[in-house]
Amino acid sequence: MKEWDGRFPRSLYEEIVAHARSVFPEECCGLVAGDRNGRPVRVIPMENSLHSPVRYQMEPREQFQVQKSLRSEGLEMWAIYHSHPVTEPVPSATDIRLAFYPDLIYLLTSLKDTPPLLRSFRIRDGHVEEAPLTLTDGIA
Amino acid sequence: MSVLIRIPTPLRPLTNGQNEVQETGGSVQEILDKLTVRYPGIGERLLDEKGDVRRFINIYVNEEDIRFRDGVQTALKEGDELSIIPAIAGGSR
Repeated sequence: MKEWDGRFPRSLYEEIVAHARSVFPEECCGLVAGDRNGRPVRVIPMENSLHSPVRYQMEPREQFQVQKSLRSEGLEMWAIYHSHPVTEPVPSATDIRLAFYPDLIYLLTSLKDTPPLLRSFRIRDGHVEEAPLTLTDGIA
Repeated sequence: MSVLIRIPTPLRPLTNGQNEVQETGGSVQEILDKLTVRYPGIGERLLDEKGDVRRFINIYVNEEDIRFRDGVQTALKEGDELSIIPAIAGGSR
């Protein structure tokens, strides 16, 4: 994917936080779609099929359907987001072990703090690197 | 049978960046065998030591998960689409 300058629309942040709150104390999960220029443009909430406060897993069928509709719109998966309801928004050992998308951004939020933090990471071959994120008003 | 295979982003470095490839084969297993030979490294990403599809890899033929059909023995017909979908999972613990 193209380089990302770290700018992230506040409206998308608010959608992710709203999703996290709506399923609390379970973890929420979803995707952020990006356009051809590698800019984040849309939040796509997904069901956490595990309905767990400490784990998430997307339903493969839902993933399949979303990917198909993104492809038809000329969009791509840009990020994977999920919440840690009461712990720090940093990748856990489980997150790292199950990170199969090294080219995507991993966004984590937590409802532990007010306002909730949203942090972004790349997870490649078991290595985590934070990609600083700046919320912007208007278009990314 | 010529089949279109949709390659997910994490595997594209192994298919020279291609997001779709074509192979011929009468079953999912035959397609997996061909991909393994043609694109070194892809086999170990898709299959475990015993040659079974990894737990965190989902394979769809058209709109259906092969787990709900005949697994890797699922028969293919001309023009079918095979999608490889790595799971998205994790969690705080």
